[in-house]
Amino acid sequence: MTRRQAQIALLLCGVAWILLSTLIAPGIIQSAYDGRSYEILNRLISGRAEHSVDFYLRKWVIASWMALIVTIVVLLPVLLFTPKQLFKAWRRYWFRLAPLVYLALFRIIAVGTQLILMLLERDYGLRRFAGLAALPGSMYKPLPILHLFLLPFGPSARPSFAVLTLIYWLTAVAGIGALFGLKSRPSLFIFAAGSTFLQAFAYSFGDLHHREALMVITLWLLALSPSGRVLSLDSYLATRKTPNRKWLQKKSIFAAWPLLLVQNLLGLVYLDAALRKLLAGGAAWVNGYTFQYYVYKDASRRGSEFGLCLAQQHAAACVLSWVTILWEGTFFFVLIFPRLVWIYLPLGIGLHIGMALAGVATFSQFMALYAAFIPLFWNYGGRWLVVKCGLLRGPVTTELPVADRPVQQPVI
Amino acid sequence: MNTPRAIYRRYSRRRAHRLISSFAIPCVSLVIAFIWAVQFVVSVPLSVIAPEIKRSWPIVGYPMYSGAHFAGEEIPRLAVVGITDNSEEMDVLSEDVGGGYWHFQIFANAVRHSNKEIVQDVVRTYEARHKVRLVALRVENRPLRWNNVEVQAATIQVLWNYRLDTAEHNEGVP
Repeated sequence: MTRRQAQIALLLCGVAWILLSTLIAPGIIQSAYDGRSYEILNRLISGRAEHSVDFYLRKWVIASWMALIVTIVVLLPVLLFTPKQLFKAWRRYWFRLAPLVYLALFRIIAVGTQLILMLLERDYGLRRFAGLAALPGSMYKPLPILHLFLLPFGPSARPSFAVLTLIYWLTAVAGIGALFGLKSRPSLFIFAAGSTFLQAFAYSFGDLHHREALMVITLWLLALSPSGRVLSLDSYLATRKTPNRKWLQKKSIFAAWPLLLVQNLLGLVYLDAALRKLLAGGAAWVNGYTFQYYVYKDASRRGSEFGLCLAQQHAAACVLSWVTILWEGTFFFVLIFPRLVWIYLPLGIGLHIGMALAGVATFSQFMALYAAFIPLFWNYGGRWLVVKCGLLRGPVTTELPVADRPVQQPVI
Repeated sequence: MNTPRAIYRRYSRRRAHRLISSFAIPCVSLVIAFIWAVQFVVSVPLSVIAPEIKRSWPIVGYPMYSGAHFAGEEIPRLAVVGITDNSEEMDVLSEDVGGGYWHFQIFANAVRHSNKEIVQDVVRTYEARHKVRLVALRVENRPLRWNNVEVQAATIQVLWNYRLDTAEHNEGVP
């Protein structure tokens, strides 16, 4: 099959899918809802008592359009370009030659934040693990990732508080090594593994939140990348006798992918948050009352005066609801139009700090991960600003390369 | 210079480059594709079908604060009341369950859904700590009605009564 034929086949399949989902599927859903269809389809509709047939029809419309869009998005590049072109584009995007200094800065900020939270924040401290270790065995439902760690000890193994304490301190020591870049790679691996283990254990009692998830993934990415090649004790010890080190100019083809992947993941998770709000709450999510409800609920539980005051401001709540949903839903635009970083990131930091002050939820890890956008800040106006204001002089302003502007590469 | 040392160095550099091209890039590409694809599937198509994806942590969905609410709505607050063998009633607090606020919610829901295992384990700990015998638990919703200006306590609703099998769980309690 030629590419032209494949494109026509995709177009025909798309049209057929639209016809099927709009003309035939609603009838099938209606008969399944009434219990008149095949047994397997009848069984798929389980909540007849709570929902009307309209609920299932609406769900089907959203799901069918989403399936169509995702399929087209996935298949289109395969049909428009040759495998060689795709391979080249992949390599140019993820494995471009980039300065190591951005990655090293990202390592320092991400590891430093995780370490500070671990050692100083009550939610990640040993006292919390003491409380969790004392929870009854019936509440313990280990996550699959924790199972992986505990595989050698059997399927029902549960670490004691003594073991957790040992892992906690081992992780903290490795974290200090990773922060300063001493034996960077092993330190980062131990820190990533320890952080994953401890957090997975904490989330194995039915209560699970997502604020640490992206940080845990990032720690593994840093361990897999050359993030300790510069701005580390390792690099200092290796090059201290060399007169001209030029660490700012050191580059690698493996220096960009962790930053790009974190940027992509941030775009995806914010899109996820916006989609779920729109799907679960619909247009009513931006009515202002929803925002006030959540702020009041959490602020009263955590005793935040600012949150209680904010919960009474309906007009502000309406504005903030719109800002939140638009900001979350379009955050990925930063990947396409890098200059938007100057709008989206300060706004994001403002929203996250506001949430923390209002007692809603603290996303310190997410704010630390914004360090993945440092190259964008630097390349798209940051350096110009720094030089103009005279904030920095010397090699940093001249040696650190900027992006190839005409190409408008998203990063570095 | 074509000394044996220089030739060896050139040769090993070329070998290292070849190794990177043939091994490291495909491996890292696999890592990138896997993480990106799984997070994409969880975040975009699955967000329509599955309201919550948790067990795949650290690659999870982000459904926090997604439901819509309206003016004058009640804010639910779950409470669990323990009833002792001398008919005294006392609140079971989150400190009694251990772990924190969210684990108390899990316990309250376990009582509501008659999850015997969890209920018995927590009750056993509670009885040992407070030196009492519980014969029943009651789950209540003590909601707050909030009208954008002030908060008022709304009518308490009894959600569930749970009778404990005293013969089974009271072993060792004085």
